[in-house]
Formats: sequence, C-alpha cells, structure tokens
Amino acid sequence: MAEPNGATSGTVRVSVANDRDEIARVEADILSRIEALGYAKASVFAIKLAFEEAVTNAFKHGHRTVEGDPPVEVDYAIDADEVLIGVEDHGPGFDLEEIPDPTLDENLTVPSGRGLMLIRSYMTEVRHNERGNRVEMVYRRRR
Amino acid sequence: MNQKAAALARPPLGFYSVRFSELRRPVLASASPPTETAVMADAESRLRISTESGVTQVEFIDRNILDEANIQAIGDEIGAIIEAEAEPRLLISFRNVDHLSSAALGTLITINNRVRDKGGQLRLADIDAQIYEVFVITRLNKLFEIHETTEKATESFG
Repeated sequence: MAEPNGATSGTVRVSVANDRDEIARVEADILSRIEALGYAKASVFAIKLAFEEAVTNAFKHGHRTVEGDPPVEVDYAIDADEVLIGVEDHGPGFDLEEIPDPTLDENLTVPSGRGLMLIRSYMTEVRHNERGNRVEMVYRRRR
Repeated sequence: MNQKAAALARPPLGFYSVRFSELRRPVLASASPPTETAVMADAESRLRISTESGVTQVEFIDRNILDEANIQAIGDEIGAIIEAEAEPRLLISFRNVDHLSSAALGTLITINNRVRDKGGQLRLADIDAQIYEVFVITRLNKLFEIHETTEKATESFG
C-alpha cells in the first residue's frame, strides 16, 4: 500500500462514508491514540475540531457536485511529537482564494465559511494539494 | 446561486414545520444518548427549554454539537421558538457543551439574524473557556452578546 503524501510509516488509511457513526469511529481511534500518548486536553480539543471541520468540508463542499455520496479518504500518522491527518475528497477541488474572510465585519452575520479558518487556527500547519481536494493538517506537540 | 448568496437566502415561511419531521428520524438514529435520565422521556428534543419572566432559556442536551443532522434539528427547534414569539427574548446556555463545529456557529448566526429581524434579543451564556476561544478566533464574540452565567444574561434583558 502506497503511503499518502507526507505521511510516515505507521500511517492508518481508511475510507470514511458520509455516516455519523463511521466518522465518529475514526475520530475516536485518532483521539484515543493521542490520549494514550499523553497529549494535553487542549490538543485533543484542537485535533477533534480540525478533524470534524475537514471531514465536514470534504462531504459538504468537496462533494457538492459529486453524485452518489462517495466516501472521503482519511489517513493519519500519530507519534509522541506530532499528529498528521490527511482528508481527501473525490470532488474537483476548490480554490482557496474563493473563500471570503469570515472575520471581516461585513461577513460576521454570514452563517458559513468558518471551517477552514478554524482548522488553520488550531493546527500547526495546514497544506492543500494543487487540485484542492486534499488537506493535510499537522499538529506539533508543545512541550 | 453562489455559496454566499445561498447562505444569506432565508428559508420561506413554513420552512420549520415542513423540514422538522423529515429530519427527525436520522437525527435520532445518530445522536449520542442523553446524559440525564430525566431527558430520556422527551427523546424527540435535542434541547431543554424553560421560560421565566418572558425569557425563553434553551440548554443543549448533547455535549457535542457537531453533526449536520443534529445541528439542523437544533436550528429548527429554536427557529420554531423564534417564530412563536412576537419579540423573542432568547437565552442560550452552553452549560453542557464540550465541542461545537463551525456549522453550529452558522446555526447560531442564523438564529441571531432571525431574532434581530423580529426585534427580539438573544443572549449566550455559560460558555466553556475552550469553546469561548472559538468565538474569539472567529470574532463572533463581537456579534453575540455573551455573558458569563445564565443569571447575568437573564438580568441583561431590556
């Protein structure tokens, strides 16, 4: 099995259906690994939030024009120093420039468009592939 | 319609009553079990609702407000409360909430917009420090009137 971009050995790779229980199962596995390594409560909060937002974005926006409600591809590699999570959808990708800044006064009452900014706020590093259908999120542990 | 225009578009009157029943079943199938047995009797609702001195106080039953179906159901329930009041005075307590997503923030913004459209007042209270940080990062602490406790929020209604 090919390792996904940027992932190290020990990477878990899983297809996740658009189903709450399935998403929750993968999330629980990620969080249990992090907790077992002694990551702080604030780290668990950050990683849970980022994972939720990335998966929601993949299904809601990434697959907006995709028929058949396919799964999204999730990979994660976790060690004592960092957590790397990749979320890839099967959509055409999106242009980061198209997302308006939700913190501008004129956008505060717009009810959408905050997922990516929360991911960027809580993770150490966030990367996208050129097509715009894969996000890689890195959380580096603060010691 | 582009994404922003879609987000701004208001549902027509009758939206809540129509969509409510349709969304119930998947919500219940995927929701986490209520944390208090007293709530079990009212398994339909995702909220604990009480009224005092003309203020409707809403508390969430779920500790996680993350999945779309759950958030939609919550938005519908609170929307029905807003529709029922001439000038809604609404207090939303986050006492039990550990996690919320940007979709939940979006629903709160929609609730705020609807309350303001009706000349009502909305207060948020009892927000955990980690969740409050989410409001600060998104600058939504500037949009919402947030109080430390439900008592202080109740006193603040004009």
